[in-house]
Amino acid sequence: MTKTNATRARDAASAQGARKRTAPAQANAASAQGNASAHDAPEQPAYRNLADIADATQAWELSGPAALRDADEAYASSGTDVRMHHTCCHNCYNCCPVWVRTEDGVAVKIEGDLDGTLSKGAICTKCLNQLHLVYSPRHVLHPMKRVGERGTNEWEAISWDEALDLAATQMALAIRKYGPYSIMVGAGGGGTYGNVFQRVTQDALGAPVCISAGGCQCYLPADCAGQWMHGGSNNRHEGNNAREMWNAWHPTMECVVLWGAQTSASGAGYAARANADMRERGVKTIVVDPYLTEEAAKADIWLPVRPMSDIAMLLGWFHYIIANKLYDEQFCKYWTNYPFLIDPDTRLPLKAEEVWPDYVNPAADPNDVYDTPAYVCFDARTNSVQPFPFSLPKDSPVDPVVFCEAEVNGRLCKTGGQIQWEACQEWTLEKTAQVTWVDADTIERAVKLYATTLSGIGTGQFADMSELSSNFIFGTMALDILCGKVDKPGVVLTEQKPASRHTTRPTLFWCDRPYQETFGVGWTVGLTENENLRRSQAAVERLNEQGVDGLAKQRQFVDYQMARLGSDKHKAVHQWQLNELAPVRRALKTGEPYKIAVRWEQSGNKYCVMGHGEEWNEAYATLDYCIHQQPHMTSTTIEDADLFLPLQEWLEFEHGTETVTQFNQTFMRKQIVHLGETADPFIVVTQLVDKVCEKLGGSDKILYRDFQFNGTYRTKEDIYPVWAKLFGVDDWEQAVKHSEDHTLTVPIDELYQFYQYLDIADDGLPAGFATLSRKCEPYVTMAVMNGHTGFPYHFPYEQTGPNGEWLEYDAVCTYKEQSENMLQDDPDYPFYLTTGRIAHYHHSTLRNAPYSRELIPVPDVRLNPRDARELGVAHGDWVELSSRRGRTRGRAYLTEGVRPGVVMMERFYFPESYDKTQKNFSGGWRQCNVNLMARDDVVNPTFASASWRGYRVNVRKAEKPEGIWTEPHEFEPFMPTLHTQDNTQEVFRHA
Amino acid sequence: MTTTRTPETADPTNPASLEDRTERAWKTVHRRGSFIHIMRKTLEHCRTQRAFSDMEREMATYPEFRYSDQSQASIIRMLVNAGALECGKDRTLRTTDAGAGAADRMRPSEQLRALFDEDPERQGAYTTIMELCRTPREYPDVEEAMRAFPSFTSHNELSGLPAFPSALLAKLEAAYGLVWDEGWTLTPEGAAFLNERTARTPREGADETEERRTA
Amino acid sequence: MPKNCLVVNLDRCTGCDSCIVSCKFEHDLPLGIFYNRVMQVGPTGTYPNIERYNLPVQCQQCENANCVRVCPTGASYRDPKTGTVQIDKSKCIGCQYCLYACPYGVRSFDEAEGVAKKCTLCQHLTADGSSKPACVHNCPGGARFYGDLDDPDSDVSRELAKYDASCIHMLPEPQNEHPLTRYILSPAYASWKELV
Repeated sequence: MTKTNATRARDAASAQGARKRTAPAQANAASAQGNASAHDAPEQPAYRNLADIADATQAWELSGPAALRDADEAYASSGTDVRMHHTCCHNCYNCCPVWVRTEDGVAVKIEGDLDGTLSKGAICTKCLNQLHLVYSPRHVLHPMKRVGERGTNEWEAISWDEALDLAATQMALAIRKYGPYSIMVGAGGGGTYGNVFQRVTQDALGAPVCISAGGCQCYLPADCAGQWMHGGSNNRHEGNNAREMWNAWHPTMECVVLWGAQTSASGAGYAARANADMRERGVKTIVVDPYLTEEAAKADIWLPVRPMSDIAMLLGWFHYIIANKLYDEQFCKYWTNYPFLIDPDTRLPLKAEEVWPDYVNPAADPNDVYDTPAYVCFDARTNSVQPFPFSLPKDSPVDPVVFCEAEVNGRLCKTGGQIQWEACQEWTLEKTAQVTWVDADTIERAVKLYATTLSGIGTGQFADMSELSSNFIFGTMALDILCGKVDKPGVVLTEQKPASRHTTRPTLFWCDRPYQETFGVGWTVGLTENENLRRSQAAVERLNEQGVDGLAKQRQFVDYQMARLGSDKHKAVHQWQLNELAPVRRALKTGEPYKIAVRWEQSGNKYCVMGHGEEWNEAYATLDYCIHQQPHMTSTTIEDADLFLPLQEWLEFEHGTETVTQFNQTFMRKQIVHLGETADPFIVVTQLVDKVCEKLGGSDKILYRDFQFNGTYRTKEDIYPVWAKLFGVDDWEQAVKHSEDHTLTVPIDELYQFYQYLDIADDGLPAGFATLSRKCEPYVTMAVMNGHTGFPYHFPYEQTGPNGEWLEYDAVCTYKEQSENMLQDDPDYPFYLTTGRIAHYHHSTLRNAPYSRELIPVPDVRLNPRDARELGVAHGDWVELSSRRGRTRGRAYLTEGVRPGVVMMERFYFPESYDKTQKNFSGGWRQCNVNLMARDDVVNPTFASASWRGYRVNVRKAEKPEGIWTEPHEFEPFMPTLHTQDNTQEVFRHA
Repeated sequence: MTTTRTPETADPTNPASLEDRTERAWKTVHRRGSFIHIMRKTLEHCRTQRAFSDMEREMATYPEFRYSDQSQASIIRMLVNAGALECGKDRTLRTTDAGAGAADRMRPSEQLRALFDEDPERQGAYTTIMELCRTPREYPDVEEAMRAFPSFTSHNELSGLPAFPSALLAKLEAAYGLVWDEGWTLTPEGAAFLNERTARTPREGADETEERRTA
Repeated sequence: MPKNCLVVNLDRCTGCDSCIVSCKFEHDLPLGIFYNRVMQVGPTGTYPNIERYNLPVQCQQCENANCVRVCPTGASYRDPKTGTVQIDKSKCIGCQYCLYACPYGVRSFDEAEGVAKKCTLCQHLTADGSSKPACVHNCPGGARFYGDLDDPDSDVSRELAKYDASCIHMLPEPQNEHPLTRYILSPAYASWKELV
């Protein structure tokens, strides 16, 4: 056959580097009959008629305010009940608002809500695929009890009563045998189901071990840094931070740095458009990324750094900005702790009273409630060391020098700024260029653009999943603070909404759960020690009044916190009540320091998202019982679970608090369909904890049963009044029927708030920040205190070494590389491994979504063509990657977008591997699992962050692994089958 | 009943060695913590050929089986699939050479000996717990008894926490010195081990035993 | 006759494939059949001096459509009311001449139904002017526009008007097909590559 124009066009595209990711038109046409698998071909479902009817009829209205849409005549005459429902997606954390069309109760179409402030109708493939996920044959509708050995895929459906009884019996048994530390919880999800219920579950039980592939490795560092350094928000692009760059209403921002962030992938539904609009407004972007991401491709300046050389780049920026005086000196002097002289022994800023015992702090609260310390500086006016009280800049008695050292009572003290300067002193442009592999001119252009415009640095998650997590987040936040890019128009570090304004000295407790009120544990930043002690004591007294031994209960709570494994070395893990990973795995293998017997896995697929899968597999086998709760079964279920509890997909999930906000809008999440006996995860955990108490003979047999209600609820009817109040309606159940009428919208002019720190508070002083010093803390005092005593989590107790020893964590950004030969030759493992996200998948989800799998069936191994040639690898060939930890495979994707010597591979697992039709049955997590090569044996000192990237690998040609599907027709077994089921009532609806 | 396929299913054209088959049996026995002793005792019991129903009755008497969420038949099937048990056409069961090999590695007397040898500083604590559990005990009782001992360094070199009582209990349980029977209870094998130790060190043992009798 | 078509702004497109999947759901397409595909053009150059862009390709709505010309039954036709190229399934005999005739390879053959299929510009949604094609509605980048090129107030015209002629491109037309679909790509991001 001669080449047609069509074939010629495609060949030419390939030659020029274009790669078609989707199947060619003529090939692979799916045929339901021809490729029937173990599943019978479904009867023609209602929605398959849609396209046919669409051809035959006029268009009908599909968007608008009313919930009940009039069908057009032809359709109405068919008697189909057509409705439109408003809700928000939950396939990641971005909750894009959507309209869902149902026909006779079956969801048939999802489209974006044009009224989404940023999304403006956009939805990504993840959201669209919900139609296939909720009706997927893989969506489990009933509790399932394992039949046979772990590692197989045989289950029997049981009732919820039986399931809860089984699970509670096993958990109660473990507690009776070994005490409550024998229960471990698996957390995660990021965007699928959030973390609140995982944490309060642990609190209620008093079970310290909770692990996540994220957490310490994802967002915990940013959460801490935002609180410790800024008294609130951080610079992470996700999580409703960094919103000024999208301020289309009063556009001020001139430049934004996307440092290791792929917002079009992580915030697909809205960030892509918002970024495009931003660029159209003329906002320049500087992208720091080893790979030519979408953001890098569209950047004004791209810094193509050597993977994980970001700390060197940061220090280069620090050096340039400080050496060339491009920082905001006034802001540094009066609104940061950089000028504070630091005690060389404690590494804490000196307080005025320590140097002058008779000093009277003019800002001290006479009621001893609010804490506004006075520090010590070197005063330029008097050329001497002086006390430095808090005040408006114009009222300050001193002109503090930011970068200096001075003798204080016989000891040489440096300022916080000086300590940062010394950490970056050798990082000239030339040295930075040499270490980061980016040429000096480009670096200079970038830092100049950043420093001389209204700009800010927004970061991605990448560094959180490495040993560099604290160095990176402290550095990027400190840079913005150094340049005064804080809480004003045109910067990244801003706080939003009227609640961000303060009439009293701002205070901050490290989370919004009432640990201090309930147990009297933890320190509220901004309150004095005495006030914190008073609150602690008051909590103990309240417990006493309830007939509980308050001090014993407090001690029990603190013991439970300090029992978190690895927290003795990495004390910031308490921020999210997590544990360091390697010690937990070791604990399972050794049964020490305490026996863990039951695992309650509340996340998706741990094998896909964390390192050392083989070792975890062996470790999990030691457990007596494992409960897994998810909408569908994953590798974790197949390998480890004894009981599976079915959760709702988001079309089934009614909710009012968690993951319901995008930008300035908070949505009622509506239950639109409901299948079988799928349950609400917040209810499942509560019901189970209740049952455990019943089995143990009382709610007093666990740490604090009712603490779980700081986040969870027993039934839907129990929580409806709370949600109703939040949304300002009388009756949630009535209101949610017209959910679109009840979106809470913060007006733009109220959303964007600036200069909160300059509001005069009721003490006559500027409000300042919710930090220890009431100023920004680029010298991260809290990190130092955390290292010493586990502050603020255990107050009034301390977590120290056995003889009271302190640990010393970095307080400023200091140079660091990943441990594995990042600058050395490594002939056995010559490549650098980095990873990244794509818009189609979120964490380990959606690998059973057929429309995404046929587009991206396997993870790409992105390789530079030069490397590929040397390896004898062609585009689309299978390759094996290996590291010192393990090996796996992927399909080569040749691209010049990746630097020679670097490979990039995303996470993946294969739900088809345990399909009933499989000849090559497996858990699906070994074939193409980049994380088999990752490491958690060295972690960040402060945050215990493991390394899911930033290590060395080898690459060679390999064969395609067995048991995985790659061709479109192979995904037929994932096509929906459950849309023929009637909707059912929610199981735990009634109180 | 579906024959479950596992990655370890032997290829009949390439029979595995006894070592491999024993390893496979061992892995199945250790695939789930709460089944380890149920399976070990089953393999021991079936060193002599047994009727299926006999084994079901026997298993029902095991304290560990009390909370099993799997039936006897299900657990027996797992051992058969793993090649540790042979199920004859007449529904008789017999431990295979691989199963016997796995069970051999788990003899309580040897496990207890190894446990005591690996960590001499814990011997006193282990002995105290075992003696205490001649009468069934709840966890808090053991916790209380352990307060008399100094902290033990845990075997988890990645944690600075000392070993908790549950760690010691779990080790004694794994070695089958103790079993949970609505309370931590000394097993016959555990009692025999204690008696043997007392016999081997008569002077110390006698004093210890005397102290406990009067306690 | 109006010139209804798509304008795709590649400055904004991030290659997320939402357009592909929106379309698949809208038309209930079987696995393996796509009305729209997103190609990766590049990176061209040598790291790090490289550029790239995404190129969504669907029916280009040619004014001089080969597919209409070669169709033996008139199943492929131009609708005079909307000016769009459509397929009347009832007339299609499945000869596949149109698939081979299309220089852009945007037609699919549905073996189950035995007919050719392609992007319809969601006429069932757009015909009365109240809604946009699914791919346009849902596009996360806000990169897709639908409307009449001859109407200066249409979405397509207004988007094109924002850009200099040097930013506006169309796919090559080896036989003077006159595709209506326009692509916007600013030289600041990447240079347009002629793919034939």
